Amino acid sequence: MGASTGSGPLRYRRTRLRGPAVPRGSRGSRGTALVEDDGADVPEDTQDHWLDQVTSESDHDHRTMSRRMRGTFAVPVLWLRRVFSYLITTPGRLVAITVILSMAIFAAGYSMSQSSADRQSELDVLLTTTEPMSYSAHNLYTSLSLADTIATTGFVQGGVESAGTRARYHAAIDRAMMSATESSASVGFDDRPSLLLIADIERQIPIYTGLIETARTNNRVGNPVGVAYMAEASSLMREEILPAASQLFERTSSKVREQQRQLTRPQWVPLSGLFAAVLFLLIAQWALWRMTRRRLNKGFLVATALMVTAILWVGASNFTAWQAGTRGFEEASMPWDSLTASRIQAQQARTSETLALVRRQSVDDSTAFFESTTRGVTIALNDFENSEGHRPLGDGGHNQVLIDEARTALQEWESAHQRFTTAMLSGDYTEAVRLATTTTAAPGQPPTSAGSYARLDGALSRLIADARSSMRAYINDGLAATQLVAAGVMVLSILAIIAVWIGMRPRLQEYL
Amino acid sequence: MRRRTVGLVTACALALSSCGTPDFSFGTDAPTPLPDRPAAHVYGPPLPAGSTVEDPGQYGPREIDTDNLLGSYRPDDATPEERIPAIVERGRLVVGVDQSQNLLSYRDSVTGDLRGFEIDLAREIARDIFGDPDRVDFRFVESASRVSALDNREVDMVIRTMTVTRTRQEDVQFSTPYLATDSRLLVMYNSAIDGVDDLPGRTVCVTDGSTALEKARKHAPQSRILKTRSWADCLLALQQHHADAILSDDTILSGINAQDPYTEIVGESLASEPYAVAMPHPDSHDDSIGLTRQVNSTIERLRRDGTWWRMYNNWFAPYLATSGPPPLVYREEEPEPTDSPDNPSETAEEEQ
Repeated sequence: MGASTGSGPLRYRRTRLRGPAVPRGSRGSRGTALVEDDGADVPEDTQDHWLDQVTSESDHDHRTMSRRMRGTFAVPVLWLRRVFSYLITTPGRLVAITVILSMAIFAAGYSMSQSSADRQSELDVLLTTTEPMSYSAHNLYTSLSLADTIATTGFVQGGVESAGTRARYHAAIDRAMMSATESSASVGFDDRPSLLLIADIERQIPIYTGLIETARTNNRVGNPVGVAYMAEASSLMREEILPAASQLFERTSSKVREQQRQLTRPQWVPLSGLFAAVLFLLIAQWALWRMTRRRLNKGFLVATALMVTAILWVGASNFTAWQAGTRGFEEASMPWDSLTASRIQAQQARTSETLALVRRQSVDDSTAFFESTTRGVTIALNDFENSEGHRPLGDGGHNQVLIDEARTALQEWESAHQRFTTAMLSGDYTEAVRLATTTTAAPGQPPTSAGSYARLDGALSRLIADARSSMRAYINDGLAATQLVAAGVMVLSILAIIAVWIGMRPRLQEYL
Repeated sequence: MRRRTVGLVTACALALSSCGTPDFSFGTDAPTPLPDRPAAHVYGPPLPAGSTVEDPGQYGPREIDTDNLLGSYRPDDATPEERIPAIVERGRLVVGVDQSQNLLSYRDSVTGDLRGFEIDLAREIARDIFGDPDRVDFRFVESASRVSALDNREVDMVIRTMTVTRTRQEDVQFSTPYLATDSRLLVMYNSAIDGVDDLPGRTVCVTDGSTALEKARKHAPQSRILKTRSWADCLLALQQHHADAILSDDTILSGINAQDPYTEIVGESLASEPYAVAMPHPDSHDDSIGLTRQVNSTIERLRRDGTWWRMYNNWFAPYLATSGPPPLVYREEEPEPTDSPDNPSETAEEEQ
C-alpha cells in the first residue's frame, strides 16, 4: 500500500489531522502504529482515492474554522472596541488610571502583608520547633557524655557505686532517650541525614547500657573483666555515639542560625512593590495634572503619604529584625556552640582521667587530652566574655561571676589533675581514688579533681543556659519587630486605595 | 503610548510584587523512590576497644627465639648491703607490675590492694633485702613500656609476665625463671574445641604484640586472629562470641578461667616458656648484676623453703597442675675466688 513508501505516512498524517475525514482517529499514537491503525480507515474502493477526497474536505474545513473563529470572538471584539473607544475619552482615562493604581497598591500591599505574615509564622516555627530541636540535640549530646562520665566515676568508687551516682546515671540516660525522641519528632522526614544520626544513636544506647550493666555485675563479683566491659562501653560512647550526637547538634544549631539569617534578611522584593506603588502614584498625579490642569489632588496626596508610611514601617521593622538577627544573634549563638563543645570536652577529659584509674593504665593519653581541653575551655570562656561586653542589654555582672568561677574551677582542676597524675605514677592508688571521686574538699586542703570538675561543669552549664536564653531573646526580638506589620500594611494599602478613589471622584464628576 | 508603558510597568510590578519570592520549581515528574531503610553493619556490641582482626595467614609467624638463652648470674655469698647499696640506702624497692592480670598481679576491686603471684614474689624479694615484705613501691608499667621503664631507671625491676627470649636479653637482664608456663587454649565449655586441630575457621584471641600472637600465627594459620589490648578484653570477646578461643600461657588462662566458670583450658601445650624478673643491663651509674644475684638468691630460697609451692597453690592450684618451679639457669662465669661448692654448676639444671 501507499503508506509503505517514505513520503506516504508523512502526507497522510498531515492531512488526516486536519479534519474528520478519518472517522475514528487514533490520536496520540505515532509512527508505524499510526500507519497500521489507519490502514483500516482508508476507503475501500481505491487506495489513491483518499488523497483527493481529503484535500477537498480540508479546504472546506478551513472555511468553517475561520467562520467559527469569527463567530466566537465577534462579541468580545465588539466589547473591546467599546472599551477602547471609552478609554480614549478623558473620563475613560481617569477611570483606567484609578483602576490600575488601585490594583498596583493592592498588589504591593497584599504581597508585603503576605510576606510579613509568612515571616512571622516562620519566626514562630524557629522559636517553637527548630530552636527547641537544637536544644534537644544539645541535651542529647550533653546527657550522653554525662552518663559516661558518671558511669566511669561510679566504677572507681570501691567496687559498688553509691546510690546517688547510680541515680544520676539513670537520670542522664533517661534524659538522653527523651531528647533523642524529641529531636526525631521535630526533625521530619525530609532531613534524612539527621534522622540517620538519631537512629545511630538510638541503636547504640541499648548496647552501651547493656555493656555498663555487665561491667557492674562483674565488678560486684570481683571479676577484673568488668574493667574491660567498662572500657568497651566507654569507647563505644566516645568513638561512635558522641560523634554522632555532636554531628546532630552541629546540624541543628547551624539550621537555627541559617533560618534566623534568612528570616532577618530585608524583604527586598515586596518592598520594591511598595516603592513601585508610590512611583505610580506620582506618575498618576503628573498625568492627572497634564489632563486636568489641577496641580495637587488631596486623595492622591493622602494615598502617597499612606504608602510612604507603610514603607517606613516595614523598613524600620526590617532594620530592627536585621539588627537583632544578624549582629546580636551571632554574638549569642557562637558562645552557645563553643560553650557546649567545651563542656562536652571537659566531661570527656574527666571520663578519660577516671578511666585511666579504672583501667589501671598510664595517664599519658589522658594528660594530653586534658591539656587540649583546658585550652579549649579557656578559649570558649574568653570568647563568651568578649561577646558579653558587646551586648547592649546583657546583665554582664551576673555572667562575669560565672565566667570567673569557671576559670577558677578550671585552674583548680588543672592542679588537682597534676596531683592525680603524680599519685597514679607513684602507685598511690588510694590518693588517686580520693582525688578522682571525693567532691568535698577536706578543710585546709586544695580541692580535688572531682570537686573542681563538678564546679566547672556547673558553671559551664549555667553559662550555656544563659547563652540559650539570650539567643531565644534575639529571635523573640525579631518576632516582635514583625508583629502587626502584616495587618498594618494591609490596612494602609486599603486606605490608600480608598483615598485614590475619593481623590478621583470630583474629577470624574466633572464629566457626568 | 505613555499609557501603554505605564500599563506594562504596572503589569510587571503586579507580577513581581504579588509573588513575594518567585518559585520556579515545577512538580517533579517521577515519584521519588522511598529511601532504603539503613541496616546496621553489625548488631550488638562492637569488638573490644582498640582491637584489630587479622585474616588467616595474613602474616607469617616470627620465630620466638627461646634457644641459646643466656643464663643468669649465680648468687654469691655477699649481703644485700654489698650487692645493692643504693636500694638498701633508699629503704624501698620499686617494682614495675601489671594491675589487671588476674591471679598474677591485679588490683583487688574491693580493697584496692594489689594481689597475685607476682606481687607475692616482689614482697619476698623485699623481705630478703630489708627483712620487711611491705617495703615495696609498686609502679604500673604497660606491656609495651616494660623495657623503657627499666632503661630510664623508673623502676628497679619489672615482674610482669615477661617471657625470657634471646631477643629480649639484648635489652634487659633476666633473673633465673620464677614460673614455667605452657601455652594452651581457653574455650567455652560447649565449643567442641579440644585443641589447635579444631581451630581452622574459628577466631583466636590474643593480645597484640605478645608472644602468643606469634604462636597463634604458627599453630592456627587457618584461623582469624583477634588482637586486643589486654587479656581481659579477650575474655570479653569470648563472652560476646567475637572469638572462639583464647591462646595464651596457662597461668594467664587460669586467671581468665577464674572469672568465668563456663570456660575451660584445653589442648596440648604448644610451647613452654619461663617467666623471669627483668632488670636493666649494668651501666656506668649502676651495677645491676648485684641486684640480679640478689633476686636469684630469693628465688632459690623460695624453692628451698617451700614458699614457692605455697604461693603456687594459693593462686593456681584450682586451675593448673605443675611439676614444680622451673629449673635454675645460670651462665658459666669466670672462676671466682670463692666458688660455692654446694650448687651444681650446670648451665641448666634439668628438673622435670
